[in-house]
Amino acid sequence: MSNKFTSPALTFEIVGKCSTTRARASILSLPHGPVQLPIFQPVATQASLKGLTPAQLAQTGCNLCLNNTYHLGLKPGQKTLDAIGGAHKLQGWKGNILTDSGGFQMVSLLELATVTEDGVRFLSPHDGSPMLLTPEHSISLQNSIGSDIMMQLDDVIATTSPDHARIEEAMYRSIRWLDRCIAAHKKPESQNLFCIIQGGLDLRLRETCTREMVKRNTPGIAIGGLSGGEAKDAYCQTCTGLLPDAKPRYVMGVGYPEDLVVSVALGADMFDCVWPTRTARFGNAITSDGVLNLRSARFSSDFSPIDTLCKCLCCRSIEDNDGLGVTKALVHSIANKETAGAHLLSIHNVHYLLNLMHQVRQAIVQDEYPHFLKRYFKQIYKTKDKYPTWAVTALKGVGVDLLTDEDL
Amino acid sequence: MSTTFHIVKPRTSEDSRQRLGRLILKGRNDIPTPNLLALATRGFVPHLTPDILQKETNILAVHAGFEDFLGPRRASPVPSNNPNTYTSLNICTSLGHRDLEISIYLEAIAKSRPDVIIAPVDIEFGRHNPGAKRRDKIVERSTAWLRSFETALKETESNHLSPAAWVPILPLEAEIQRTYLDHLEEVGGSFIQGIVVYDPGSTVNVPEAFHHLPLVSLTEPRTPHDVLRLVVLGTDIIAAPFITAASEAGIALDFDFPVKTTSKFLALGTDMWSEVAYIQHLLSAKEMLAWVLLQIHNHHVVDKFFNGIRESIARNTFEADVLEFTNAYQSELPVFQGQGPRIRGYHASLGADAKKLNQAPFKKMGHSTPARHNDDKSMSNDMKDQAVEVKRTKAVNPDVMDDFDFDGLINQSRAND
Ligand SMILES: [Zn+2]
Repeated sequence: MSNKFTSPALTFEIVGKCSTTRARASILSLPHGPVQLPIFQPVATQASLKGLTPAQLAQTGCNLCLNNTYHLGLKPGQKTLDAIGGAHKLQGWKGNILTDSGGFQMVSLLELATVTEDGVRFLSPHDGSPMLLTPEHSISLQNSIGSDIMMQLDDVIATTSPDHARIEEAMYRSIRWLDRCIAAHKKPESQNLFCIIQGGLDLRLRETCTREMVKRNTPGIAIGGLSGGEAKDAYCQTCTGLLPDAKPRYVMGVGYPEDLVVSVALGADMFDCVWPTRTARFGNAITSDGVLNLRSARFSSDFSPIDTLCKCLCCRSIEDNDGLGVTKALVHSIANKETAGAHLLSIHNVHYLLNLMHQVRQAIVQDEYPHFLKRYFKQIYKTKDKYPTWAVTALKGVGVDLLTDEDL
Repeated sequence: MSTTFHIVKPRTSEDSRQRLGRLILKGRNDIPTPNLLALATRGFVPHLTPDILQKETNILAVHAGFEDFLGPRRASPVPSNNPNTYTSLNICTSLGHRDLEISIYLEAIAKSRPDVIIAPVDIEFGRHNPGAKRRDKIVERSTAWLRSFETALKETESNHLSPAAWVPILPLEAEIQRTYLDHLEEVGGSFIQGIVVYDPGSTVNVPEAFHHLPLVSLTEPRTPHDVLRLVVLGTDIIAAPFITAASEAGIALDFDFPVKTTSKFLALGTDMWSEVAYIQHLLSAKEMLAWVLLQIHNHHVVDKFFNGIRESIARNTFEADVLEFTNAYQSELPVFQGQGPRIRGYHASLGADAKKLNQAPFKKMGHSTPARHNDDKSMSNDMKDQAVEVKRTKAVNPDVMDDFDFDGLINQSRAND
């Protein structure tokens, strides 16, 4: 089995494997530089990561972030993107960009009237006029954005939909749309198009979808429709078994720390989620002690760093390489009142998840991932009775029993 | 003594009182004057994180109100809704209007260790033209507060934590505040290290004995023209609330002092809504980064402006340069056209019932009416391909969503916990 895959705009190389779980550490070389996997990608919806400057974003260690095609297609629009020369230039970002197809946005933002074989029909958020997003149009927009990784348009439906016929229709349509996306893609030498394996949870359908999409030999594979969270058990059973080894695997819309570490154990390499930046705006800090809501009165005179173990710009002391020495009490006093408060917490939260994935990667390379998992769950949940069942079950499936202490 | 003020180039005329100085605060970078006093809310220059303030701006001094947590009030305070009392000042805190006991403010001096502390005075912001009775009270209370201030500050001095004391001139006519001014002179220029004015007119009331001290303007200039007038009136350190206001209105300030071209009627700023640029995109997309970038830009323009003022005074061309500037630029900042990121944060301290000022743009296919936008022209028609029957719409979770990245709605329940 090969550990390396090369295509015109990407090289993927596995550099370490866990001998117990399916976790891998790899290097994904993209047009705007190499990316170490596993990775968490922050979401800069409209070519801006919630008030952070591109320099601040780069400082968190990020070199791959997500932009949303749907938003950029509306503003600044394709003509402007073409005139400026793409989203990298628009936002002064030297790292890599991944874009979604725009379809998912509509399903979550707009209660859709119709998905037809042509594409997704929706109303303009500006003036209510009708619009249609086709696979061809999605690809054309992503070509104008110039993202390093682009996503096919897929027929997104909720994983929990009870309508089996509709799930089956969506799955086959997504395969047909993949073919249309591949045909419409104008820049395969500089942009990578990933397929999206449907998250519909019927094992037989998923197998068919996986086999068909793998045949199309896209440079990377995404798994979609899983971010609902309510179906974690089932997702974990069907995640990565049928996928070729030597391709990057991107699980879309997943971002809670425990979801990330479990998904890595199941063989996933890439993740994205708006949660760390959104939750920052509600005053929530992701820390090694779990998520803390710093608006809570108990932090009003807590002068410790946001997370004592964190080395981000905010948490480092002023003596430590020009850190800002931000305290919980400071965030408490400005959370929800000053935009700078949200910016500071966003810097911390994004750094936390990037650093978590960095530690995950080190543990895999040193073949200590099972040990890492046990330590992590203990640190976050303190006692075993609080461990989420889906995580215990999923990890048991790949040879790690969180409930035993051996190895700790 | 923690501060010194050197007069580098003294005033040469009584009509045009500009001068060059250097404010030296122990342990800080020297501040050449005239210069800007940046305004903070809750200790932050709005929208700027401390790393950006340090790396991307030349801001040397920041004013913070004690209500946010160092002058007793913000420079442009929310109007008081209760009268001050003999021992307390009505302020607007993050929790609403409160009475600040003067004694508590004074205790805080020792704790918060500012470089400079401004003495509290009995001004009720938002209430204009006090009557005769009220004026007497202002003078009486302010004089009493100044005594407590002096005692409190002298106590901290023994702890070697002594901030410099800046003392206001009351925004009243000289005869009316005579007892207060007399008391200031009694206290003297060894204790008082700076004079603050809340009204440009007060500059003429600064007693002769204090003319060697830095004169600080906490007035509300609306334009760079107003700032030049304040320099002419002899102020050395000037707060300029219009900078943040312009940033939040989507205006990139654009002026040079001295004037660089011979054109007339130049705009003092560019309404970024009419520019195709990243900032225009960010404003239109209501992204908070728009404010950050405009704040950096606008503070840079004002920093250059003050640099130009100092060079011009040094060259002895200031008066002529001011005249030229006045003729070259329009008298007001451009009027704000578009909608910026959602008004939130410290704006909301105006009242608990502050409403969302911008509408949610994304609508469900459903009933009611579509969102109206005033940036239709900048909008792309790219996605409009075919006609389908138009159904009217209703906002998605208008009460839940805090901002405009509506993607990943599924994680909302967790985000809000
Ligand atoms: Zn941190």
